[in-house]
Amino acid sequence: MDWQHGKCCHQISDAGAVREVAVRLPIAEKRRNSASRKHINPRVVRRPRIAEETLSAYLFLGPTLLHLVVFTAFPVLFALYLSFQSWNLATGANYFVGFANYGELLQDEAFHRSLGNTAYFTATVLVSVLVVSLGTALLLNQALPARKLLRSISYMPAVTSVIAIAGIWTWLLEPTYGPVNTLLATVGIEGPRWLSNTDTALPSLILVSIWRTFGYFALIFLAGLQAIDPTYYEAAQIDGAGELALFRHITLPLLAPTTLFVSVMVVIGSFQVFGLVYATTGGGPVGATNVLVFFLYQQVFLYFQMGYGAAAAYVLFAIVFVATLVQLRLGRGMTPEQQSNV
Amino acid sequence: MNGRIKRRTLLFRIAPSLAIPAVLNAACSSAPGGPVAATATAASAPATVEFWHAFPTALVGTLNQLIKDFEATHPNIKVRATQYAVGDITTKTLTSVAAGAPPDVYTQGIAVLPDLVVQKALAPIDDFGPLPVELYPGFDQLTKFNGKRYGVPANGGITAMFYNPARFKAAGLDPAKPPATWDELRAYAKKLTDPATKTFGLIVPAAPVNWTANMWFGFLLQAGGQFLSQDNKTAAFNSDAGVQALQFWIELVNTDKSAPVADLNSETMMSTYSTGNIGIMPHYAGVLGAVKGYPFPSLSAPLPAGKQRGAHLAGQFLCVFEGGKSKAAAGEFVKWWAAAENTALWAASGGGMPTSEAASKHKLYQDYLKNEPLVKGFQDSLQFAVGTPNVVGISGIQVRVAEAIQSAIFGKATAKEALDKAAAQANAVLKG
Repeated sequence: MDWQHGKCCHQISDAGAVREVAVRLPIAEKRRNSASRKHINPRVVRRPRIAEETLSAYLFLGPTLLHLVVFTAFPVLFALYLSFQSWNLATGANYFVGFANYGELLQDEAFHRSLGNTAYFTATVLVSVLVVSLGTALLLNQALPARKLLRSISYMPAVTSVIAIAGIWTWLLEPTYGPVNTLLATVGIEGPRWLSNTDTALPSLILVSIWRTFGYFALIFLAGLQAIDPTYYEAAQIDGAGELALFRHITLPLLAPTTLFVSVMVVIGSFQVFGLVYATTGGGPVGATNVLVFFLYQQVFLYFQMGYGAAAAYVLFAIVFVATLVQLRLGRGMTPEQQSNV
Repeated sequence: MNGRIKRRTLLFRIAPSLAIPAVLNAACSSAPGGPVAATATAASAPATVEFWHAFPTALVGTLNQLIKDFEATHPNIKVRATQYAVGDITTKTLTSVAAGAPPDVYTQGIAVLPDLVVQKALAPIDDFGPLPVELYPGFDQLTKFNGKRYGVPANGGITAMFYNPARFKAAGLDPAKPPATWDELRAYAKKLTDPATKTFGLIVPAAPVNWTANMWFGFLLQAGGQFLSQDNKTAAFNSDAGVQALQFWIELVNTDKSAPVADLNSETMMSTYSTGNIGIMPHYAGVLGAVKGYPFPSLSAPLPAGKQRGAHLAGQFLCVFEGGKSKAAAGEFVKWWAAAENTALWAASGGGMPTSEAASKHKLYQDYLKNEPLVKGFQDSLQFAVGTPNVVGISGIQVRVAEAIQSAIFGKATAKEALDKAAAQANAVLKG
């Protein structure tokens, strides 16, 4: 190996062995057949290896980076700028107002209600999804005959368009003519008005949301369950542990990273719920299902107040950011050994 | 080194050629799409009028016919029509104005005309010369702002009632005698309601959108009320007349239970009525074509009288943008549309009401009136139809009124409380 010509770098092969490889500079090729090969001229200018590789990397990344900057980074930063402006899209008036938008949000009763609705929605969906998807995963982990079919069925709502789901459920839950209430009437129960009642509208949406996502998270829990080394169970069973004890002391703790992941995803997704609300209740009735993103949508698309809407968006960002930080802190503290599973 | 691509080739040949289509894609995917149209100069290059509309799909055939007629008589102008959903067109147009790339013409549904004038986005129609007809006076108030006209109605919108004669007969009512007063409407609705068969006498909207407030506006007028004060500086819809009008709806829904408690909007009102289980549906003339297609015949009648008759006058207004690429050609197109025969053709295809006396008297429309019984209720309503005031921010105020209507119908507030709250919000907007 011609160490004088190149740098050494390590390569780790699939088998885990470490090999030392010399990386030869292009200039070394030119001089391969020259008579003065054995003489190393320290003043030869070596084309910097790093710059060329980096350059080609950037060229490959370029299109995607451009897309990311134009369609993600720029709008996010522009929205931050907007949140300090008052911009009426209809009249075109656009001027700086400092923190006035945020101040107004703090006093906006409708905003408080949407925060409350969103928090209630998120908390309920989180607890329910954790229980339901873990339960489903445990079920799917058994050697059931229809296991693959059940897996597909439970997963299908997660890959269905939210607008289609909204349409179907609006019809299913229609208070007067819908199948759910008609079915309940046959057993003598007068069904509630579901999406048309201020008390049952949000719970109805919570149910639909759970139905929609539990399959997806069940699959994630299933992967987590199957990653648990069976020797743990064997050891515990030798010590005389029953099913419940196995679950409490082996399964749950070893699932902690998966649980953390699911929790974070559910919280982020629930705080951002919009499509379902828009396509079913339109934030109503009377603001009962007005969630944070819907409030934002109203400000921007109904009242044309771009700055106010942007401020609401950043409040949402701050809340989700803090919530995720808290969850990660709590989660990290609990799972020192299985961190690599996340 | 043999199988691997030479680094140099990778760097200078392949990577850039991969990058270029991706960059182009990123740049072009956000472009509004459309050729750069040359403005109509001295009969050399043809002008293309970029026309954004929210007409229903059922009318696109007639629209294309009208465009063909226009292009035949105006050889240097082409019209490119793009259809948008009613709920999208306002936002789409406003953002295009903000981006400095508006279309040439658009159909205004939601009342943002004053707002657009304030930001100098619209071209006064008078700049293009006089209109070929005298429009109905009701449209002047809706299309003029600060003394100048900024829109030409493509059609007139009017609220009246559709009703199901079969349901009338089943309830022992005479379909030839629709309810003419509030008391009659209430009595009829009660008779037409049958919980056993899940039929309702009436449906009223309650979705918190402009449309709901505009549907209710007719009832406000019938109670003798006004939307805003005479000087347009304060809200007047929370007067006694307003409270009466909203209370009437509350009693129909919650006391008599002749109408379902639901936050219906324009589309869900129609889909509910189309099931055949509803006796009476107040709605706009523009959905006549759709109602005709339902699996049962319908009739129409003007909205009942309270203290007096009243109906909401609206319509889709063709507005020309200052920043459009073919402004002069767009002006020609808009003026041409108002001509009697063109408006009459549009109205006779179920596109709404005619916008001028001349169009109403035109043979096309007269024949249509004779052969289409469903227009009767709307035609008869023309004489007492009034538009909502044309002020900056009116569309946001309408949404607030709709929210008040929704909270009252759902029993979350009394009529007075709900309307007073909306009035406070409206006054804040009207003040500045």
